[in-house]
Amino acid sequence: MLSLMINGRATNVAADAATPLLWVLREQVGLTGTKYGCGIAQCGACTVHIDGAATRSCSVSLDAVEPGQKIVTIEGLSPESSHPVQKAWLAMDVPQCGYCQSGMIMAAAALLKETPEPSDADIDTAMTNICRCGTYQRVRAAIHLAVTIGKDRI
Amino acid sequence: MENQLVASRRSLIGGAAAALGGLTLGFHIPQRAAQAQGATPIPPEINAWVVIKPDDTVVIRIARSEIGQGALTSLAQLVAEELECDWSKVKTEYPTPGQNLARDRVWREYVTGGSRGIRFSQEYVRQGGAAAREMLRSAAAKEWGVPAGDIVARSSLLTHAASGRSATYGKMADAAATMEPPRSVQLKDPRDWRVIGQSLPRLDTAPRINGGQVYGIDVKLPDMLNAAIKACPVFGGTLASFDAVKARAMPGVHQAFQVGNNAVAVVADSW
Repeated sequence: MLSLMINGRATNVAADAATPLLWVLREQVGLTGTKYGCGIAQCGACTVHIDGAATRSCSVSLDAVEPGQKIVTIEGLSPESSHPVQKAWLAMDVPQCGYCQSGMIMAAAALLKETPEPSDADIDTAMTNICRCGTYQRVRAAIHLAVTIGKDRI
Repeated sequence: MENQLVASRRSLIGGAAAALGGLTLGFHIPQRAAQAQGATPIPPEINAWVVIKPDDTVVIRIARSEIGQGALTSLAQLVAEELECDWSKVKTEYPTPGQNLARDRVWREYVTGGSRGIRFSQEYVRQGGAAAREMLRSAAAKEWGVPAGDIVARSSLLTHAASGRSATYGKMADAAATMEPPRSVQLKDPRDWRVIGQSLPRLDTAPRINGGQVYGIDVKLPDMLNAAIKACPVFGGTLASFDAVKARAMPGVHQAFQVGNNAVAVVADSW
């Protein structure tokens, strides 16, 4: 039995040490917002934050998570979808099928923490999540909108 | 090639059944079960396409599958236009294919593909909305003792100008549900459209930005098992042999076995 800090709560999990964090979150903890897309860290659908850094959870084994590291999933990003990225995503109807969007939003939120006013080039470099529906133009526009929304709150 | 894959899936299920002593084919989606057990009585539908609640919420039934292409919102727009309801009050629900069969396919086709959802549905869903509108007007006409033709239905409100009477759709919904459906309906001229053709905010975005949207992979059924298949990576290749001793010994693994002549499947408690 291991204790992980997930979305601000200490959560006990019991799984094989080699189990990817993605599956611990989805199956042991029941947080299915984080998605499986490829299992080889290529698509980003599994993106969570570990100590604030965007991390592809399909490729982090349970035993690689250090005690006390803060894990945040899409469910814990904000109360009531209030993060500026989520507000911008809603305002611009970014998601189509939505399957990649949990990872996309987590990646965007991490980007804005690193680079509060990213340029298009910054977005191109940082946002490598794959979207089969092709929402990329709206993702970019919504990141810019999220910057504005974030500023108005300060 | 495609036939081979289909045969492989079938034999996977057959093989698993043989190994585990039968499959449970009963199926329910947890969300629907929760709704079905809810204590609040469901208001009667005006017709198969429209339910209006006392608080004026308009529930529009959608038969086609929304998979990101926007059909859910668009089909609701088609119904809402003719229904003349307040768009801000619209919610949607999916009757199940089973319910459709039980009601002699009242919602017609469910198949969704080839850009057919709007093209093939648009006329009859608009007629469904128009029919519900006419039943609301008939209900008001009956209650007020005036000709239905003198009643204006607009934005979820029924008004009779001459007498100044009005009622919200929510107040007339129960009575409307008892009205005879019209034999035919006149659909609106596209020049008069206020909702159709507008680029409105989607009705289904909210759960897609917070992990709330449920996808097939997220569904968990009682005693559900998961299966994964590894096929020969070479086209036309066959399975020479496999050693499942280690796999079978892993916690949660139920079975590992050959599928067809070119693949191995593992069945386990979890992904």
